[in-house]
Amino acid sequence: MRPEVAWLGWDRPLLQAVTDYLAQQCPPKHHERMPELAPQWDLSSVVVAAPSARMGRRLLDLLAGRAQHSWDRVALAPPHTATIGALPRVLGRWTCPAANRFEVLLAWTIAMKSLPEVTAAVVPAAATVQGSGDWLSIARRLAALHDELAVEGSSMPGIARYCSKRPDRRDERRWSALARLEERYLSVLSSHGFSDPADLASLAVDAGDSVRTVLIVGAAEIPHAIAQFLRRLPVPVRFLVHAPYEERLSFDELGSVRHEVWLHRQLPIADDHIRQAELPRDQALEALAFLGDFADSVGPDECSVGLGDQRLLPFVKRAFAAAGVPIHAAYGNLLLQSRPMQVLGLLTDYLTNRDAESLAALVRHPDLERLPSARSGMTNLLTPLDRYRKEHLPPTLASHPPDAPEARVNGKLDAVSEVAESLVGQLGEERRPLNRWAAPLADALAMIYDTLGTDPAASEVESGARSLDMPTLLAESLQETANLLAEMASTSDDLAQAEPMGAADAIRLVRRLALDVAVPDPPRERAVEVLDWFEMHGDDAEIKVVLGMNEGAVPEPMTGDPFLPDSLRRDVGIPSSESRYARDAYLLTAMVQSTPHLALVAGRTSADGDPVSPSRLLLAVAGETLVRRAQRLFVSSTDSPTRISLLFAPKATSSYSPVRPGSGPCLLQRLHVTAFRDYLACPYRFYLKHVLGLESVTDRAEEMDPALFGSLLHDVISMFAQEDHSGADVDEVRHRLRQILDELANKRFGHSRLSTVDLQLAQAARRLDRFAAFHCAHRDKGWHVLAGGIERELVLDLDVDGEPCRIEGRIDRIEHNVASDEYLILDYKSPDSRPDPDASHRRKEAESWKWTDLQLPLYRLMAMHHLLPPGSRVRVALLWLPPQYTGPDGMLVEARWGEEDFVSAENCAREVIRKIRRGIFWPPAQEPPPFEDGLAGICMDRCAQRLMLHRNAEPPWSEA
Amino acid sequence: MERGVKNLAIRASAGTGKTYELAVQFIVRLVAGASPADILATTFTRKAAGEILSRILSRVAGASLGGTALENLNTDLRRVWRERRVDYQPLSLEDCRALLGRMCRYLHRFHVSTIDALFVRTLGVFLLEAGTADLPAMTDDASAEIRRARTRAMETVLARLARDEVLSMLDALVGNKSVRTVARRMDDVVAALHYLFRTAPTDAWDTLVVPGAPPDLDAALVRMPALANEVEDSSLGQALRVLESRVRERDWSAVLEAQIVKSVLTGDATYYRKPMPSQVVEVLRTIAEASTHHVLAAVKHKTLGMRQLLEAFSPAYLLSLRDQNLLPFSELPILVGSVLETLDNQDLAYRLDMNPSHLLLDEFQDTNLEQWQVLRRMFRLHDGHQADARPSSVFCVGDTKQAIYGWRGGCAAIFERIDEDLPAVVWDSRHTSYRSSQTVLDFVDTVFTNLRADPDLAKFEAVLRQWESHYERHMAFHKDLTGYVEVCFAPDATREALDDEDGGNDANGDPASAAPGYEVWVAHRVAELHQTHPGASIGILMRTNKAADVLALALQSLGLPASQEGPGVLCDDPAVDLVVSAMHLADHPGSTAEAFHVYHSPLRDLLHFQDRSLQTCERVSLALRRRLATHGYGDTVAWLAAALAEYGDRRTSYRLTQLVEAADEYDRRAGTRPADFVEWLLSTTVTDSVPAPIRIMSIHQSKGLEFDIVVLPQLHHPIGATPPSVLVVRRGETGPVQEIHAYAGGAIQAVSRQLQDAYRQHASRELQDALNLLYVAMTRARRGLHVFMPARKLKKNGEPTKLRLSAQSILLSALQQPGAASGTVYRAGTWDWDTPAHERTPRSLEPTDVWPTRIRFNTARPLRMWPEASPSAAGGAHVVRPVEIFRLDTAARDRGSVLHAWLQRVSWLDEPLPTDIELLTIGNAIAPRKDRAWFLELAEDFRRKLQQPNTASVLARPQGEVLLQREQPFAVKLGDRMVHGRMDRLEIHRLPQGATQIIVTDFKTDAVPREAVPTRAAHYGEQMRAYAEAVSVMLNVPLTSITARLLFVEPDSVYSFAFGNTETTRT
Ligand code: SF4
Repeated sequence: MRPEVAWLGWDRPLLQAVTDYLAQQCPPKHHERMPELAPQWDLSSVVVAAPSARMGRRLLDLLAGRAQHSWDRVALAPPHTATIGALPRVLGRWTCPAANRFEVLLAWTIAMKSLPEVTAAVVPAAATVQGSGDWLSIARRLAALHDELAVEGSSMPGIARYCSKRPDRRDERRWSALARLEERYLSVLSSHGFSDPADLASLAVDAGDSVRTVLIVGAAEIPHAIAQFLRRLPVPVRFLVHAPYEERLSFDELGSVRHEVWLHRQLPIADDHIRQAELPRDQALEALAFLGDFADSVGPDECSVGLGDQRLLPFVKRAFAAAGVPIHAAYGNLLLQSRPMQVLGLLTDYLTNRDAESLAALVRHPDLERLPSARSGMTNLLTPLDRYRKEHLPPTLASHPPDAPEARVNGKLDAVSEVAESLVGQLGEERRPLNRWAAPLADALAMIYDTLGTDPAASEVESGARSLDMPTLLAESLQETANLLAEMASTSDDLAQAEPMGAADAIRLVRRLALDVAVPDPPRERAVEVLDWFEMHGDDAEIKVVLGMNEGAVPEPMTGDPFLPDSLRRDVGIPSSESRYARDAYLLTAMVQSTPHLALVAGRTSADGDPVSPSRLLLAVAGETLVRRAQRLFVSSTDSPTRISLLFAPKATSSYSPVRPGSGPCLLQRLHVTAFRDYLACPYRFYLKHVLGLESVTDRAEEMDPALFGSLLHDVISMFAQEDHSGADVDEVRHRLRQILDELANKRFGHSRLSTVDLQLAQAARRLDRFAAFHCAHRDKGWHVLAGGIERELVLDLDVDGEPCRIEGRIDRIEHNVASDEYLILDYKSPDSRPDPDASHRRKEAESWKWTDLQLPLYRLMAMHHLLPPGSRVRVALLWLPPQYTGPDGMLVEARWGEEDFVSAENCAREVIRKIRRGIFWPPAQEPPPFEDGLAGICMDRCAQRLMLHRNAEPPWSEA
Repeated sequence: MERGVKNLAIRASAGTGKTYELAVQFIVRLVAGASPADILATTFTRKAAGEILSRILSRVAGASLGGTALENLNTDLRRVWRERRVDYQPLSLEDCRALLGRMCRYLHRFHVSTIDALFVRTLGVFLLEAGTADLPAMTDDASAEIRRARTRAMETVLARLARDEVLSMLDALVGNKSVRTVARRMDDVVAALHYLFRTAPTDAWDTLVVPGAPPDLDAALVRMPALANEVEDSSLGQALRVLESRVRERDWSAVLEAQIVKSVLTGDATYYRKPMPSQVVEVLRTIAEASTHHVLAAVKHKTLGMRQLLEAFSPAYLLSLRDQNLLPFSELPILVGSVLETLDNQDLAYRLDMNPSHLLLDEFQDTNLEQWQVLRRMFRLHDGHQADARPSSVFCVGDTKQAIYGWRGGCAAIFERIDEDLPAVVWDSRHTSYRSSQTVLDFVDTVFTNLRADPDLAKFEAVLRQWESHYERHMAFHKDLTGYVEVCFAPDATREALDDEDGGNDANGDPASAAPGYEVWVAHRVAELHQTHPGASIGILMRTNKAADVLALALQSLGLPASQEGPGVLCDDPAVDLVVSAMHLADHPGSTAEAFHVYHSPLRDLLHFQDRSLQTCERVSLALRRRLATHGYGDTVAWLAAALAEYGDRRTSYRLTQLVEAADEYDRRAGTRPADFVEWLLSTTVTDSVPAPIRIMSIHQSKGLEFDIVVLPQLHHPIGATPPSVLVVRRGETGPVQEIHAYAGGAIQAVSRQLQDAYRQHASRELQDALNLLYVAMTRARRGLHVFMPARKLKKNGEPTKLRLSAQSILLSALQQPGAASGTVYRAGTWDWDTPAHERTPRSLEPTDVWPTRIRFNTARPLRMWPEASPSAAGGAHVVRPVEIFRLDTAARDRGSVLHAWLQRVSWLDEPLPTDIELLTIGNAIAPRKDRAWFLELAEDFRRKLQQPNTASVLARPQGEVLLQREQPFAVKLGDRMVHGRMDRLEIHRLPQGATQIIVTDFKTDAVPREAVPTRAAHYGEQMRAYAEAVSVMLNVPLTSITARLLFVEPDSVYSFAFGNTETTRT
């Protein structure tokens, strides 16, 4: 059929004009046989094709509105609507079934692998391409290229022929390789009895007998292959052009824009259409300001926001939410980011690594978390898992049964790892044809989401949040995921057999395809529609604002493609930067003509933070107008911003400050020796840690942290010291220490350990060797461990103002030297540089000493009180387990304090106790500790407000 | 452009208008007829790229108005043409407008970008050549993601290698110590050295010459006890004994430290001025040789250990990056370079759609060697090419004095040696500053022309000569621009623990730490400056993040409008910290500290946090994670932030705004664990600071900026305080890496000429960087430059202790006051400088804040868009259980759909039924993968079904007049919903009395057992009512005269619905 063009004019929005056209061309009629019925507006034999599905849907709205309201009660039989791209599939039929998306990718992969040399001309690194995953991503690229060319009636061999005819035969080699790959791909498909879904030429026309007319609406351009197909239709095809008849020379016989006309045309954009904004969020604020002017007289759904750049969407979401304006994003949400896809992603990780890290991530996913408890009835599983990882550093959970039974935390960990294993268990390691992975994956998801559905807590926890249509969104993404899996299941077994893959790769493939699937945003009444730039023209809102009117976005640049340079595109007539410009110049013109209230916002900074220029469409003017507009757009007034945009209205002052400790006396009855250090460092942190018992839990476990390393050494030495080794020589001691280290390590970390832990154990062994030398040398000097002098738990009731306070502590080691009748109290330390007991216990401030730690003095006090004969001479020292060779003498670092120092330490302890009793925990210390203790947030360590707490402290020079 | 000078290089001192110059050069080429597409301009920051482009456009746009703007442009163009020795025709207004028109039409063909952006674009085009199908996400080398990729790679490496192998590698790395943390150590090595490993030849790691061990060490050792007893000098004897034990302990570096050994090594061979006996000297020499051998062998061993680790690590790391589809910026030139290797230049230009014949290269001194190699290849600058293939002009502008990216590979020498790459380069220089007051410039000149005054610099002759060779005095363009410079010490009261001499070896690390009071003092001085010059911008330029943090806190607590930029500063706000805690709690419900934090905050109500029991924490944690999983980080963080902003001031609001945007950005890369988000947040650099008149930043970040007042409080930061992990020797300055040695200092360095030379190269580079940094810092100032220094520590005699080499020591020496310890050292200009008339109108530095205000739309308006209610969804599709959604029984589905389509073809049973062929055609369209046999079997079944009593009754032609519409499409507005779809059968019966009876029939073809029909039918009640209402509206008939029927074909049941106005009855 010869195509016809009809001119709608552009004084009304496109869809209104289409409605008018339909009302005029096929007006409502009474039914011949039953004239008493309401008149029928029967459009059921019309197919209307528009650039987007949303336009078809809007057209139904307008038609129904016309039928029900403008006319009184007309029975509408709506037309069939489709997108232009889908039209051939609606009106045509394959002779052989078309391959599905999985089959297409498999066929490309098979084609590439069967022609390795040819493939290497396209993908030089083909030899290094690793798993199926990589092949399939390349296949996806080739498939996309194939589609892009095919819809324009071109093909890889076609481009190759073009290249070979050029005088310089540039890029010919690559294209002839691509051509061979495409031929092979097609032959793979046909040998399995499939049609190539991109091949519209072999699609048989099958419009059925009910279709009388096809209307193409608002198409600025028709891809070549689709135009060819339309020509084959036996019914009239009419192109409704959103432009007046006078403009006919600007369009071709299919109503598509003539590039040469629109490329050089001046566009009717007025200065007051244009707005400029600094940052992306400023663009969103501009949109709000523009819409705000109309708010009194219109509903939000009468406005549309268009995005030249999709990445502006979050900025619009945030600003509109802050202004209380609901939006509905017609883009929908990426299926890939949906919950079932997240779960599949985590499963892939776990399948590939099977380690504790990926397990921890997996069971933390909210959709999986209920699974273990649903099965085992146990709750609170994450916290034990965190602790277990931190303390036992398991490389995996399944293979890690350390000897200590309590470590399995009463089966909770088993419950976690069993669930994970049961999920992946059915997936297994082997490679299978793709179609046979669909069912196990579907089963796993069904199991997960069924538990979730029956979990009453799942809906209860969400009720706190604003209503967000969560269940709808989840249900939709489950459905879309199931659709993908169903497609996967229907994949031809033959084809899949040729390229078997593991479960992880199968999931990767599903996730890859999910990239192209959008889950619709749940419908929302009375919301501002947010649309893509190219849909703005077809939208019938009277108030429209387009953001991102910038170079690099509108018109979309066609450079940077891995296959098709812009110049080639132009030469062979597939969409190029030029044709995009021409199309957008028309869309913009039609929109300006048909929209009563329109704003075009150009940003100065892109969503990625790049400086950007305004779109050249905004500059398609001439003469004085151009000069004036260029002034406005290019000559920036200032180099520093004059306004700063915030998302939230600020208050005059901030109410944030650390939580004050409860007032009144503190009833803490007992104190550990080491707690004094905490109080002396910062009373507030002492309060948080010791009074409230707060701690910050993490589970990152790459290796033992220094504290764990130290305590392991400590445990080894203690265990050793409790045995009798009086006669042993250095080698024997060393041997025994290493044995103990081995035992303890097995107990704590199990037999299969992280390799880092193994390395650390080797390091620990060396420090123990040095301890062996010390042990012997020290023993030879006449020191021996006092009976019961190892790991001695002691308490001391310190009398403070007539009331005792119980101090608890455990002394690492107490020794006695018979010859000199001296006692030695030792504490083990393993830092990398030599510790200094004096420096670690007190600090000189002004002219006096201030205690910062009371550990050794209090140990001494306790020992003298309970253990040692009165009047004994007692020395205190640190026993350093050094990283490098150090003589035995260097390892013993004694604190040389006099009696008066010990007295002052004891007084300091009393003072601390008094303050604690009086509940003095405020203010925090000025300097936060040099290490991360998990309390930085509560104490506001990083915030300026923290210093305000000390503002009454005079600066040191104020007297001067 | 065809005639005259082609290649031009300009040395442009700070403030002399590089951007301006570049823009003029760009315009010159346009005027000469080049199209924008013919010109490529590159620079280093996105901001600079934006400035260049907007300068080009705004100058031409401005000149298009005529007047002085056009005259000025003509003046600049004429100057350039004259320099190029070409006559010049001034631009007329028409020319200028024509040029503007041309530029606007080709806005998309301007190539003004950063080098990185150019490379990313190149990579995008040559993806497959680079062996990947998707463009990787570019990531900062210091980001949390890269760190994680390293960790993963290291785990694989460690798991793969044998334990002993790793152990010996580790030993080599740490020098046989026993270290507590190993993963950290190895990560430090690979993080610091991977780039070097990738860019240096492998044999460079194996170049240290280790002298052999003396054969007679054992003999010497045997002799030692006797010798020690024999020598007359008993203290020498003692020294020998100590030495012997050290030798036996094989503590070789300690041996080299021993006085007696040093004395032998220097050839002096004395002990306390007395010559040592020759037997002793002989033994000592043997020992010295042995230790030299051992220590150098250890250095070499360590270097090789590093290489070995990197060799194992690198491939695993690259693989792990590829897995995550990440690319750190450092890898970019390497990857692009490797792709270009395989390409022909013609292909390159063609596929990039870019074939510039003019190159304009900005900030040339910051180019690194790898980037330069790639640029040379891309634009055919290297020697191998014929002259006509090269671009017709190259313009580069730079300033080696401002090369401050040496630490990340920037190589200023490329600029100085550009003649080696380009033919006939003409050099020029600019030293008229459009920025600074002459007072500031004079001070800069004073410092940099007196570098030799510092005796510590004497050993860096090459660096000094380099500085002197091109240094020219700066001239202020605005002669009457007043200014003020001062250099002064903080008062004594801030002195306290400051220790210049050995602070660097402090256990707690920060060599530049000053006494606690110092930053507070600086803050007070800044407050004064802010009061004296209320409208002035103040930049405080720092060297260390820690000091910057402290100073920022001090300024803010004084209530000054100060902001800080840099990594992690997003978290300097209590509300942001609360979000961090909430995220931590989401990941770790057992974390009581974070629970407490969140509980005592505005988030308590939002999160329904009734108490702090573990039970509640778990629930809150799960709810947060569920929200994150469903809506992403941006949405969740915005939700929390909105609640927190209620209680925050402007600063909090700004930080929360930034936080929300960061979270939205994170959604594009999202990992699922909230803890990863927190980690990412802490590693993310905020460049877009809270706009404030007082800004704190690193000197590096200040590049390209200018301030009315610059404050430099940290010039005492010592130069070369942190030893490098390796020493690198290059052949020439721009040549390839020749040698790499693990760093060794002190006595070890003293025994190897090679190490000393390597160290000298390193130290020169560090000094060069430090001088450049000082130059950049000082030249940021327009009017006021304030150098503050902490009080110097005094010796017992009251004299100041000697300073370590630092910008401060260099500056004091240059001012001829090396011994100054207090008060003001230098002062020039006027403290209360005013703003001269020709200065731009004072910019408002306190911009106004805007935020979205609540908008209330008119909700009384009729809806424009009716939300869709598909009638089949109204039947409660959403209550379908996941097990059913995931039942992938395609065969059953196909069967149902085909049966359904066939049923629709039946009008009345007394009419001919579709033939097999017709059925096949219909079925094929629905289930194209089913074969003929399947259809034929189904067709038989279909015909049988039509004979079933209930089915047959539905399809039997009724009495009276009836109108049948099959597959009737409809679209009707019901209430405020849009209902549309197709009705399987619509029968309109004309009743005898003239009334109308309507029957709507819907086929259900799924396999429902008969007993389940009532429940199933109940599910469809809503759908049927929607159909009936639609018909009622469409045909204008009362609801009561409509019947809706469900025909369940498989069990052969019919279910009818009749409708009252409100209720539905089923039969
Ligand atoms: S001044 Fe430069 S080198 Fe120093 S910390 Fe800042 S960015 Fe790093």
